[in-house]
Amino acid sequence: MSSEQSRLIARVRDGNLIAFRKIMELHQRDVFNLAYDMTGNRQDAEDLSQEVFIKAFYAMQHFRGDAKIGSWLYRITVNTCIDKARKKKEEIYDHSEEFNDTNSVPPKYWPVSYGDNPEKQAEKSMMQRHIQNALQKLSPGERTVFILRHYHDLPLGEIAKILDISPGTVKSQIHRAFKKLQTQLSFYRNDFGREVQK
Amino acid sequence: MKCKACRTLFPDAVYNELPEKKRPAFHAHLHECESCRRQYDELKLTLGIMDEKERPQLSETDWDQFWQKLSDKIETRKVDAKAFTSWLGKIKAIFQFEPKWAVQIAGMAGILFIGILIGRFYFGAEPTGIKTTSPAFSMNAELAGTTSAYLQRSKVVLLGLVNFDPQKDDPYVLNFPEQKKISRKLVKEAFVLKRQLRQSHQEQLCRLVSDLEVILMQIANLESDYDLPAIEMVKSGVERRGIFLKINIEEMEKNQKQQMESEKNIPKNSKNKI
Ligand SMILES: [Zn+2]
Repeated sequence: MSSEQSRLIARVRDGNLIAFRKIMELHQRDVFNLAYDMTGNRQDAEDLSQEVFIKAFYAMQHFRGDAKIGSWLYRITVNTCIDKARKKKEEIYDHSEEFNDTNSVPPKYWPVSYGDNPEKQAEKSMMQRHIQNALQKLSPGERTVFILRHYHDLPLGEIAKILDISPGTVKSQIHRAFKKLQTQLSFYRNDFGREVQK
Repeated sequence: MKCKACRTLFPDAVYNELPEKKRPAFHAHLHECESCRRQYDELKLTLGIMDEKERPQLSETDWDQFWQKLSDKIETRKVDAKAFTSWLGKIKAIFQFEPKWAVQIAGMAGILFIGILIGRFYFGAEPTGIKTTSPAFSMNAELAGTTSAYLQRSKVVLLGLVNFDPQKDDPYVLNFPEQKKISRKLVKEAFVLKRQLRQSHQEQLCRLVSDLEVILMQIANLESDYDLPAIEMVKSGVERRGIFLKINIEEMEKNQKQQMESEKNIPKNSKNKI
């Protein structure tokens, strides 16, 4: 841990909010993105991120200097997401209906502009739905491992530490996740493969 | 390398985590085995599709608002912490600075014991056996049981707080929803219990339940499940008397068991008398 970071942490322990904001700013996107990946919903992701940083502020008293603050926050985020999902299971995780309804409009908060080509736009938003749908088909464990590895670039060993499970379990979960995703997206792969090769 | 071993390495390979020494064998196998090669390519294509996933991008303004909301919440909790300190004072008064608590429990154990004796007396004095459900006795025994169970459950909640060790226990997996739930239930039950105790003139017990009610209500209303400094303060306040409390309640439980046994035995004896 850098001495700058230790100084910030020491100030947070004294209740200094400015120091806490500095730490937060370094990690807010990672936390938000992970929460979004886990929930697939912007509002939920924002609420969860709030909760994560409140916990982090109070738990900073007990943050061990040898741990990485990023991994620590990831761990809080995963636990908070799983906790919330347990509490309102259907609401958070089961978006399958929403995603299966191919006529539904993509959520308005997707900020990406697809240009003026409506056909391309429809295709892209459909793909977003299929990706989310495929993720929702994974078990919470498989989904968490896959998201941390694929979208947050964490080595499998570190995922094991963050989730407090054995490396073997991480491996078998990512294997199962791969299998399910391949099945879910098989109809896509041929088109996509052709397009990539073009 | 066999196909199975090769496929086991897919997650490592696809994310460039393959150990150096396994790399040549892995790639050699892919080169010669069409089935594994096809599988591997398909996996990479699937992951390529997953790469297309998009996320909302929060603007600087969004983050400013996010911080505003967050810092407001933290400030509010600081105020809560002050309120907490004040109720903590009450807990300390009960657990630490006043022997009232321990005395009351010891007294209560005595009262319950007397209740049992009274019960025996009623049974013993009952010549016909018709009034084995004499209201005086059944109410005492039942009320003693209810009170004992009530105190036992309160003890579990309080010890849960006392036994939390912030050095050993993970602060962010710590939460008290269950304790809060039980506390809420106990607070509700306190109302009925106090009335029953008052009706049978158990003033001391009634006051004890009132004291507990205050503490339990505070636990039930704890705003934050993760208020670590607060928990630590409760812990230090309750620690010393908490042990006292435990011992006394356990004594009471023993009495309770004896009472249950005598309850089983007495009707048999009274039947014999007839
Ligand atoms: Zn092979």
